[in-house]
Amino acid sequence: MVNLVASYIFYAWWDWRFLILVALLTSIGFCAGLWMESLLESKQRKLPLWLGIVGCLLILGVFKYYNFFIESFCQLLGQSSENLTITVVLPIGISFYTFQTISYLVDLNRKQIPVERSLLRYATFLAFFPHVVAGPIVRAADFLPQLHSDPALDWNRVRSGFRLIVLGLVLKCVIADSLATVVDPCFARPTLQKPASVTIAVVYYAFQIYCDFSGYSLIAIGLARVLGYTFLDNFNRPYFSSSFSEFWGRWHISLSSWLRDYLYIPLGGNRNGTLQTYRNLFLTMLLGGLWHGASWTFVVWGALHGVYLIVQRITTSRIVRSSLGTVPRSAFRPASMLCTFMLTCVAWVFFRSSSVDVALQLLSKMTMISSYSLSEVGGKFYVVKGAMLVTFLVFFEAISFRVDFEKLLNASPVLDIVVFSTGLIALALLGTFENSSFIYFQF
Amino acid sequence: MLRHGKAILFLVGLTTTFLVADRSISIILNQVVRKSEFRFSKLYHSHLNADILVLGNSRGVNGFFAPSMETELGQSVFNFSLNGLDIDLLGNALKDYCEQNTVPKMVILEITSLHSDNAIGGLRFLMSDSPRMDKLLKETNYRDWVLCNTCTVYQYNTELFLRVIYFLSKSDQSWINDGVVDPEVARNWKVSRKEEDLWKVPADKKLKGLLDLVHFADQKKIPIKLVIGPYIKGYTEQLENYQQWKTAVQEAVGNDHQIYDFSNSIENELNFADMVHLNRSGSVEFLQQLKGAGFFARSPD
Repeated sequence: MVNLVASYIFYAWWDWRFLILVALLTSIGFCAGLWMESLLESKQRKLPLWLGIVGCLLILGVFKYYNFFIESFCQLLGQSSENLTITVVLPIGISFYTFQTISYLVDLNRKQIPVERSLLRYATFLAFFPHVVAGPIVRAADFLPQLHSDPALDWNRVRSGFRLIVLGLVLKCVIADSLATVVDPCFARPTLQKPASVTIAVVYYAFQIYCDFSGYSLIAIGLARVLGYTFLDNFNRPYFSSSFSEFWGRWHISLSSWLRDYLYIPLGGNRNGTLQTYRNLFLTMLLGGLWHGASWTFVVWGALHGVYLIVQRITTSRIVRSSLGTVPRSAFRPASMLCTFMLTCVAWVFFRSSSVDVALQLLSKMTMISSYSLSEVGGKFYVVKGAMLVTFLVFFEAISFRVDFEKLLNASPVLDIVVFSTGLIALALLGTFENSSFIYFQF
Repeated sequence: MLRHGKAILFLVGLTTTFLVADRSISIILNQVVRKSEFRFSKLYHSHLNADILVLGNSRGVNGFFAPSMETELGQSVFNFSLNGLDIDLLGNALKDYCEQNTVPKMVILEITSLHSDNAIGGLRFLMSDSPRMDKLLKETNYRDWVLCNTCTVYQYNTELFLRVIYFLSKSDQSWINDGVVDPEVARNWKVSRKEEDLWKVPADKKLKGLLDLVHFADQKKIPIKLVIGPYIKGYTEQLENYQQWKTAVQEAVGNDHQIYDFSNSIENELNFADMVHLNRSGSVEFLQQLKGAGFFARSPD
């Protein structure tokens, strides 16, 4: 009960009116779940399942996609969309709690989880404050059982939870927001940028969005841990991926696994032949892109990742068949990692740009390698600071493949104190505390 | 149940370690500030005794190039201008300077510093060197002042501290923008709403800060020259409020202090780094214009 009240107060702090929306989605999911449970035949269960899903998507569609589709459609017909669009604020976190409702209903239909009969618990599952605004997308199977008993407060859990919160704040305030000082001017005034500045800004953006979102996820996971709950990891050193399938196993894991389980596999996955697999991959990534926002830039970003995954499948199978297949895969790993990172950066340009035209303009500047001149790079102090922070991050993550920091710190409170103090001092010395919100709040 | 003993021990250990580390790092960083050749490090940690002081924001940095001025005028020049510095901070800098050095023979104030609203933000590491700067931070940004006193390393969390490090072994007086504005961008430039807003009649608080600075100079019998440095051709013509702004400032300081308006004095766009900042060649050209106009003559205005 306390968790629910706290969560609703937290959400209402932004705009109390949208609590009605949260309550509506809670009612849809809860009632559809009970209805499904009351029906014995699986065919009959489809009706509440689809009514629940359509209800959720309808709400999401109105608030997030209506204007986008109307404007795009009118543009296609050469008509004005002025009288057809609606003025509506995008409710914070709507994409996240809509997806949670859908996954609850689908899991229920698949009989993977039992129905939740307590409205209080179900409402807490959906609106729990650490994850409600920007995820991670929490599955009912993982979280609802935890709500069935009062969590026992454990000092070691509290300590490790706060450690994650401090680490998340360092990622957000120290790295992400410092990089933003280089990135934001570039994307705000693309025409004034020099080629080298654009490339630096794009690479920095790749790290900015990573630190911003993984920082938020760590804060959410840490908060939940302090309160006695467990959320699964949402990021796992994604820029060390040597392929796009690996990247999507490491980046925004709660979303990518959601897309896999509730979209890619229901579409047929890789079960119906090569072409169908490619189609399913492409569609999944396209819709994954659209999930991020109602804009063509997100659609292109998703489509690019779809293409990357398809090309990866084609090239990997050819390499395996060719003579190169005898060379150990580890020999390709550094080059594959670099290649994956560079192509991910290309896709980020679309993700961050205000329009596809701006993205193309920036990409064309990035290709002018002969015009690269470091002397023309603006804000050199921030560029150098950013380079140092990114280097530290990459170094730290590389070490973390060999050293289990979590285990080490749990075992040694003294070392933990040193790490905590270092984190707090890093925040004070290097943190940026202007009015910047988390990037994923907009989704 | 929480194991209170362990938790309390951990928190006490954490607080102690944090405070010790914070204070120790601050002492080291303060030494860096003291050793740096950065202009505000020099202000508080060495004797400058310059003949001419220049005060201003980024337009002061790029309009008055101290090395050229020293060569041309045969006098020592120190430029205290910095990006975004506002009039209150410049007033404090002048007062602190005069307490620790011989009074300069002339002060040049680039008055578009009235546009800046940055107060002491980036220079909060000066609060331990100057009670005036400490008071200014407390008055303009109480949250930062509290943070700086609680967690002293926060004083050094500014871009300007990075400059302090950069200028550890070389003077920052030769720092100037060497870039050249893209002529096409310059030709198509339109003043933005944000830019236009800068030229609204300055708030009373700003004018009070300017008057305070001017009166201080008068009391110390230091000739103070109020200047509007060059803007790119056509810039001020696009501004609706330019003349009103200038009149308001002139009325505030009175007729004893003439405003030297050089805003339209440089035609060639190649002398600009962007629309509002001269570059190295522009500063040389501007210096010749100032000399030609008898700007550096000693007689009072």
